[in-house]
Amino acid sequence: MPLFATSTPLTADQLAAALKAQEQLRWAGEAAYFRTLHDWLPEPFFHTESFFLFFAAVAAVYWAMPQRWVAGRVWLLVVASFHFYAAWNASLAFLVTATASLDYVLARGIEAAPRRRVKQALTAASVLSNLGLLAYFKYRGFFLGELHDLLTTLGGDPAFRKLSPLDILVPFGISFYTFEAISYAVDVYKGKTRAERSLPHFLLFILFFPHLVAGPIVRAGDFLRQTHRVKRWNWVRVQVGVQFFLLGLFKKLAIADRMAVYSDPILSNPEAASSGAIWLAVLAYSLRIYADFSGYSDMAIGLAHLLGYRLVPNFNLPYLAANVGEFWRRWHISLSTWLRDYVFIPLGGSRGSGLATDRNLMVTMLLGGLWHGATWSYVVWGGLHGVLLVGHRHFRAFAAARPGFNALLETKVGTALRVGLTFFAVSLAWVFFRPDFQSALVILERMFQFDLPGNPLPLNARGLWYTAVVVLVCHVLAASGLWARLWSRLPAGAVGYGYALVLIAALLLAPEQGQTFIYFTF
Amino acid sequence: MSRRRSARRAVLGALAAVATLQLGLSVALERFKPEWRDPEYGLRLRDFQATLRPAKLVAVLGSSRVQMGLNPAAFALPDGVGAYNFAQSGSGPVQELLTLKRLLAAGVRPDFVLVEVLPPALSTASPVNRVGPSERYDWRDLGYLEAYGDPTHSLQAGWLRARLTPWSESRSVLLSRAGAGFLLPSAARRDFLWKQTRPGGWMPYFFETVEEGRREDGLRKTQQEYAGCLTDLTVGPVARRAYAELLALAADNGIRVAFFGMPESPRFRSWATPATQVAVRAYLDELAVASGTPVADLSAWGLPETDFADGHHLLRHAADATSRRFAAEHVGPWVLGQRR
Repeated sequence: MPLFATSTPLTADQLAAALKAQEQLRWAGEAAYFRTLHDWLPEPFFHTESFFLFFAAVAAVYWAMPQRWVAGRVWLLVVASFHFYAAWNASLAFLVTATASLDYVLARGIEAAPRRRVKQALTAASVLSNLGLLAYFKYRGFFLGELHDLLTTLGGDPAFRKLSPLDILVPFGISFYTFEAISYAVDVYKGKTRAERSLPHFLLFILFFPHLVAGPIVRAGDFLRQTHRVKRWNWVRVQVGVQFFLLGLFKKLAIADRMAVYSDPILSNPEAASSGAIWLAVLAYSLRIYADFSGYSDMAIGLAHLLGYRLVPNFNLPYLAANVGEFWRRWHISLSTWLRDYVFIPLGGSRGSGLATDRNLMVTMLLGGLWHGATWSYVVWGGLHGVLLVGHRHFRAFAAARPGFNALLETKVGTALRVGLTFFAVSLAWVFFRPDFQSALVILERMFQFDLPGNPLPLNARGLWYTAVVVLVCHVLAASGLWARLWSRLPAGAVGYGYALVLIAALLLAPEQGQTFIYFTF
Repeated sequence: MSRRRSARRAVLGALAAVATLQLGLSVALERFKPEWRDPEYGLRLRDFQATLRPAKLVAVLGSSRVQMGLNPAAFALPDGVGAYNFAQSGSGPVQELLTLKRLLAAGVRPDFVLVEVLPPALSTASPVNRVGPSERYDWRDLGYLEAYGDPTHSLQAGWLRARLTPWSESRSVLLSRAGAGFLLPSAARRDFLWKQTRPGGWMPYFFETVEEGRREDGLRKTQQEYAGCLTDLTVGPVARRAYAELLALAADNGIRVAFFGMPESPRFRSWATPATQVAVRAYLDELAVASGTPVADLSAWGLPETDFADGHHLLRHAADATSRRFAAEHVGPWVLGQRR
């Protein structure tokens, strides 16, 4: 029974207030132990003081343990990860642990089963249980809503009501850990990975708190091997961890949250905004999404390094991509490679006819869009990227048949134009990367009417332009290798001072109102 | 140097540098740069110390009403007497007492102190008679304020947090001071404090005139904030204690004190219930007896609604006129009377 039954749509503020009230009510009924835990660690975000204290305590105990206590350290991280999740929602922490345990048992069964049929049935059970979890929590509202509308349009009585956002509590990170569990079952079935013998090691693969709620999506073959290794304190690794974490923190606080101040008021109420403000807000949103998600990934990678683990890189300067195909090799790499390996290639990849390849690309990207969110706007976003990928595939073939034209495209000017065009196309597609489909249409409509009057940006645009220039210069410096060369020549003391300045700058530039991570809702 | 030693040096160097930068800024905020943590007070103190050294000083204490409504340059005072507006937004009795203590501690001993009585701030339920935010204060201020702190709010904890992470807690002021105010939303910007403030501490209202629709919006907000306090108000113990301590402190230092109330618009005055009016009047009479000076109640002047931006903040033209009249009818005679 939902706590708040609603018959009329709520405004964003009303919804936020109702969700907050619902959360308070839920916590009031929770066990005292978990309530206290929630008070200590109210948000599962890496850039909060409470998380800093949590991590410092975990890391201190972890490294204080004798290094030969591999199992003890694994257990410590499993318990810490469980508490990290339970501080947000204790019931769902138990659920995630239980489903991970089920995946562990099924994988053992897949490996041990003597017959192929049994292996297939157990693999299907693991995959379907994870997809079922995903469907129930994330897509139930969307599909029931669409079914409700369809039945109503056809003149029938649906005999059920649409779910309101208050009825649906999507577990943080569900899309990430279900994909990890699915790929594990498939890899064990295919014999690519051995089924893990130790339950705590497997639980750590799923629950490891740096990647639990927003990735990167790790592969069992890569991660489980690391859980069995003896971890030794290594200053080089600590430096790498600190560097990643600080870079991510700066991206989050000084860029993503700051850009949200420009973009959110405009994009959430586009009817009232001028065309110019909407263009700038879309630019700010593009910067925000990149800095928010890559910042989170950098922090996750940094934290993992500080505990002796290596997570896969998730971003590689995606806004320098010269075409959409390259963009997807640089953006959310752990998801794009997952979709490639477990959707695109099983569908036939690019081995079939041109038409089949186009179809496979479209299906993969539509599913990729739906993975991000259970609304039509994310499906459209995925579809747009599918169209762009198909378009690029044909354009590439067209250019390959014309060497002169191809050579022109490869010149510096041609490359710069292609980078600009790719960024423009990706930014336009970001308009749909929000839950509200109708708003996205209004945004596009007003963008291309160019001179519509309305509200300006809520803040002086100078800050937005400076940020865009800083991001561009950093991209160019990193891509040219100049940054790495300069950094490696600096004396250690200057590097340390540089880290301190990055931290101070992040604290100084953080806006008053912090923002959640966009990808936490996926 | 080996790669490991270099990495250790970089990480430990970073920790040391962060600690030094945080500590350094905290020391600066505490000891040398009060204008970085509390620009409204700190900048006025700096400005006063740099520009004005009258033989006799009239210090004006109060809220944003006074800050925007009284222009000391328009006070026609006797030779050798100068006035300075030390008012700060959100001030009630406790903040006024604190300002006097801070001035005395900074070596500024006024001869006369004009203290605004803000009727809504007299109520225990008032949004302006509490202390905080903690980052405005230094360690000595906390001692002054301890007796007045909201029991649910730990001043020391807030202060400690602010001093441990000063680059974060004071970022709005720091960015504004560094000329990067454009990075901040208008509500967080602080640069207007020094751009708008005139010699003598007066900070006129942001605009010369206010459109009717904007005034209505302002009145609505003011009503939301204050109307509750003006319904059957009773003077709370915090206000009584703060003003009693202020009078005792002034007496110890040979400072004469006079209380006054700022003008209010007809709409604002209409929110005060008869019981509130009686309670405020009675308390003003008490203060008159305690200070030995009649309370100048400028709210009785009956200024029109159009003189105010939002029912209680005077527009520039009205501030000048009010300042001249207040000085002519009350401040001047009072100062002269004391001099005789």
